[in-house]
Amino acid sequence: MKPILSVRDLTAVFALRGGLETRAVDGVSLDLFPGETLALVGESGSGKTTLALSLLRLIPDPPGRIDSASRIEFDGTDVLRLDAGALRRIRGGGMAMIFQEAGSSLNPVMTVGAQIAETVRVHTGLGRRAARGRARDLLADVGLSDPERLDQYPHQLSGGMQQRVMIAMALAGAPRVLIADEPTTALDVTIQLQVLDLLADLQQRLGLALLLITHDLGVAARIASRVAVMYAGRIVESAPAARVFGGPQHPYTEALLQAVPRLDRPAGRLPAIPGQPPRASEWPAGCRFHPRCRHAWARCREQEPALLSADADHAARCWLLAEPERRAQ
Amino acid sequence: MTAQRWIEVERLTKRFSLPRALLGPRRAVVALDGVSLAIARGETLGVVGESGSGKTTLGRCAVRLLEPDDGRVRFDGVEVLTLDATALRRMRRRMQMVFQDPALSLNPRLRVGAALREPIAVHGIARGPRARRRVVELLGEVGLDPAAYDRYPHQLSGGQRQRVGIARALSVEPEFLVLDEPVSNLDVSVGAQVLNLLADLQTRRGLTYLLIAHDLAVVRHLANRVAVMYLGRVVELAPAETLYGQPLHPYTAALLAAAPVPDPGAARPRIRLAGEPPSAVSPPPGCPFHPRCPHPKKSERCTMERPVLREVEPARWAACHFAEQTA
Repeated sequence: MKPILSVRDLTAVFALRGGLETRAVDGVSLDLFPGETLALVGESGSGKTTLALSLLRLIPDPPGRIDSASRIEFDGTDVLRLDAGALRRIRGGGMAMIFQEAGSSLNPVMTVGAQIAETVRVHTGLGRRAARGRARDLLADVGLSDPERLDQYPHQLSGGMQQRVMIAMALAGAPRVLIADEPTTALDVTIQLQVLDLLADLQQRLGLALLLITHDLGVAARIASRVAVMYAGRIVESAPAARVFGGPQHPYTEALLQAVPRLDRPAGRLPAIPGQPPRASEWPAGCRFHPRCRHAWARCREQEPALLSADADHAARCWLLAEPERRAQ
Repeated sequence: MTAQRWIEVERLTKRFSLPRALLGPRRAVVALDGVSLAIARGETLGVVGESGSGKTTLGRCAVRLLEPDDGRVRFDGVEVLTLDATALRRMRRRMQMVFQDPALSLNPRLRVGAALREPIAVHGIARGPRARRRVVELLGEVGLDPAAYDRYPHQLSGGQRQRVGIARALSVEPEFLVLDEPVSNLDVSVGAQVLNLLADLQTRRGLTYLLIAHDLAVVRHLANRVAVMYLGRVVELAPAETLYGQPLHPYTAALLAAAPVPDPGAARPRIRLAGEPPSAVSPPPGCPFHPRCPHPKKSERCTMERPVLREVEPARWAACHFAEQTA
């Protein structure tokens, strides 16, 4: 099967004061296949949101720009070389995006029905009446079948319902890729579960490819088929979800799974990761995780490993894959 | 006063009035609806609940950062809610609060050293070089480099700022800390460090904690007992291991089932709650949880009669008509 979205060597550069530059996303490659959910997991500053925004060319330029060696291919189209009109059609029509704070992405002075209908009209050219009908159907698709919702304003809806409206709006252009950036982070757990169920259901029903960006390993475990872990602007591990959670190969992934408080393990002292994630302006030399890694040796400080294969569909950016005897016990 | 009931909260109630619509009736949110509980000396009592459950209001009323409308708070035998301003200030030395977002609770124009010296001076604990020495010791105790003394809050990372928040709370040598979502703004790798720090400080200083969090796994790591709140009330209260292993209230069971666990193969009960918590302005009659309750025995009684929080088994309290059968 061919990927619907293919990214090669994506680098997003931001200008800093004093003529310096920082590579918030640094040479990232990934493939997203129709009907799969790929979770991009990372802590703050790892570059996961910048990566998501870059896919739709939404990073503010200046100060940001996408390096010219980067390639983003959506369904065979070179996204980075599209003119403004074609880019507009891809945004929402090919790839749509939803964000963490649904409330602040919605227009507060327009009813949700009118907002969705407007998006429908932009993408389909339907007339007013037909667009309103489509808006009603879309709201029903996201579990808001009560017809009075159409005439409500965003502030009359709860956070969970606002996120459902955002999803309905994202679906208005019948996209094939849905990018969801922390879609449930602002929600309570019981509502979070409802929204994750909805995303999984829509993905099945519509055959969407879902790129889920999250800091929460538990959220990724709930619906992802594959997981890519980001650290310091790089993907450091990538594999089917069960492999990442069950047999992590990168020491960062392993340490993260140990450090997170979990309901499925005995309570007790948490094996925390020393130090803190580096800033984009000061990525460490060598392996970017080496200052916090309990396995690190001289090679890790000097030379950055490539993504090395553990097996056919599991890769990690770690020298331990080349020298497994170095793994500390 | 016994060591078992070192801090006692009794029928604590707090209402927030809402803006009144033109000619409309006065309306109020009952954020805290007659909550009673006790904390033993040296214990960590965890409070979990979703937004609007009243857990933050409970924490603030317990140290009188908010004035409750009704109820009592006793701390080591002292009635906290009737203290005058002077006596309350003395009492504040003994009970302090750590907030979720230290960026909001630290003055951005004050260096860390000055921010920590302030409470030490206000409470007349130390002055001059002695105060400085004390602050440097505090920084060390929370795992910060002495160089942090001259930094501004924005020059620190989120984890470092939270350590400053903890140091400030400790600066007056309190015995009781209310920790309100102390790690929810932090990355996993940093949050784990802060949770370990809180555990160490408790051991070293014999502190008593009221730990408020939405994340059940975080609470489980520190708490001896856990209270689950829903719409301003405690619906279950039990020793942590019992509550997590065998919840008596269907809401607790649903929260546990919904909590994310980083293991796709984990066997999880498939409990789904429909809808959202009802409005605290007009809570439903009967059991406030009944509109969302998935309990198979749910009956008309649940829609009419409010279940009381009662000791279903020794040390296990629940407010569900069917708790006895669940146990």
